[in-house]
Amino acid sequence: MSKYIGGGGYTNWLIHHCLHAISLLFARTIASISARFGKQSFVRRAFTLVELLVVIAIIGILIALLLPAVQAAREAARRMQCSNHLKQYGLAAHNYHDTYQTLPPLAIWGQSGIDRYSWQLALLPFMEQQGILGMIDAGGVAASMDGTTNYPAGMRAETWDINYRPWRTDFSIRHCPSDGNSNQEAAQYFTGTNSYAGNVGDCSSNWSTMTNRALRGAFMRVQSRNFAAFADGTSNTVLFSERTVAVPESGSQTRNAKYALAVCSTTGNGSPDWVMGALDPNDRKRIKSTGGWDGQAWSGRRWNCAEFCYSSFHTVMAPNTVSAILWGNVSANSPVITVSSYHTGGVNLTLTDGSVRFVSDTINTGTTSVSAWHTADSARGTYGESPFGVWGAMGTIASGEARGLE
Amino acid sequence: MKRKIVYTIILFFVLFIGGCNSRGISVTTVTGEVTYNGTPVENALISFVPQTPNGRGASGQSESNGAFVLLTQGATQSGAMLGEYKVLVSKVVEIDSSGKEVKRELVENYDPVNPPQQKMYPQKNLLPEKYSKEDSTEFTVTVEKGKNHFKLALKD
Repeated sequence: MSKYIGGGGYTNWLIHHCLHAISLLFARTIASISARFGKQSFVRRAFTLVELLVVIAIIGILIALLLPAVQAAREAARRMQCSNHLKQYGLAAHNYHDTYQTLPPLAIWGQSGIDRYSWQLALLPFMEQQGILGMIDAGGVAASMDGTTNYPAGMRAETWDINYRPWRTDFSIRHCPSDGNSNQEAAQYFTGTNSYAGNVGDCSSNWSTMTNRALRGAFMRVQSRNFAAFADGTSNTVLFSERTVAVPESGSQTRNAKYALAVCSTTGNGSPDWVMGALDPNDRKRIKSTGGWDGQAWSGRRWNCAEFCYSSFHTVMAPNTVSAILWGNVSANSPVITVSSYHTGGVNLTLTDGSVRFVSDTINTGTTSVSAWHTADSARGTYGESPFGVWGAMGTIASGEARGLE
Repeated sequence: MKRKIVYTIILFFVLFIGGCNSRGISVTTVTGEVTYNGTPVENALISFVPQTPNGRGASGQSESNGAFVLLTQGATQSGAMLGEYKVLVSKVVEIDSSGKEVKRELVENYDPVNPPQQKMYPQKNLLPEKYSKEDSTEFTVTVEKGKNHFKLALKD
């Protein structure tokens, strides 16, 4: 019960006092009724112990029933709002497809040859955020936060430039209301948070060279996919989902708010097992192994950037488990990003057909052992079956298994 | 009469609190130790590969005395689900040209704009290869209710 009572704030106070008033009224009524029908009419009498106990019990039961219900209802409302946001993204993607005959790519080429602009920017005109793109197209001092820097017109700004007004413009659809960290102020290199990410499938790949493996999900890095490529069926493939925003914290204990952002040692760059194995069993927000990078809390803190830790997720680890942001060698940085949320027991996601579902943490994730990962790596290629169970199958567009949620 | 009311109140609260069950994957504690030719192995990766349907893999990393604790994806406590597993043990390290293990220092305050470059080294498994494959490992264990402790004695 304690988890419901904590953090209610004003509403808790209000409910408490309302109940208090009701209980006083109730007690008065009982007293007046008993006074009227009792033998000693017109004589005020005190409460008996039984009356007191009954009133206290009723108050107790009312509070016990009401409080959790109210808190749960508020969280349910937030979850519903979150699924509405994901629906907006799904509709935007479909409208984009209607216009351009493809889905947006994960990364858009900027005019200076930067391929780091996120798919979020491509969907802006379909989400009534044309103003941000207009600001980018116009450039000039109006596009700067300090009012003095003169930006060139078009997509030329670096994605980490926090002086660039388009990056700093906020819109509520990109935040999950349950994630209290998705409203962070911009910090150095981090322009603004977002909660939603695109599905890049069940293979971890190197961002800069894309040599390790092909992306098998709904998004490719620079090329884009159309619905015809979803051979497993658009109803069986995830398009967008959510991922909690990391909390900035320095030091060797890299955390995000829910589970650790694993920073694995550079060895054993491979399977989800390595990530789980590196977790401290006593504090599952902490990574046991040292060596390699002290990853800063990056996840979801640059909404306009297409790099994996900002824009995408992998369907490898079960929802609400560990992410590996910076593992392997940095020049071959192949992360595994896991979907996560503050909703109880799972995450919301948009399927490619536009429908929004809630997926449980306990979804089948197949075998996630080292050997399965490596065998699969060499054998599965672009169209092989995913070793990661139903979750892996839902992340791949054409692996020959039409496994859906039901 | 009074007693009845008191009992009713107590009953209500017991029923109410009884409803607060937690959901999720239920796991049971699994610990163990890894030795190779009699000596404990540090930083070995232990993977439990489920052999039962709807099982879920568990993994852990060994301490300097060879002891390990298993963790399962999606579970809120340490441990593994009940059932039969095949156990894989490996210890992959990076080696330099002289065959020595490369130790990496923790890098703090990583700059995402100008990332420092790290050198890549070839990797090597310090334990026998047969223990890292599902079809050649000798260890098949069953995790049962209660506390489980497995001694994994690796030999050449």
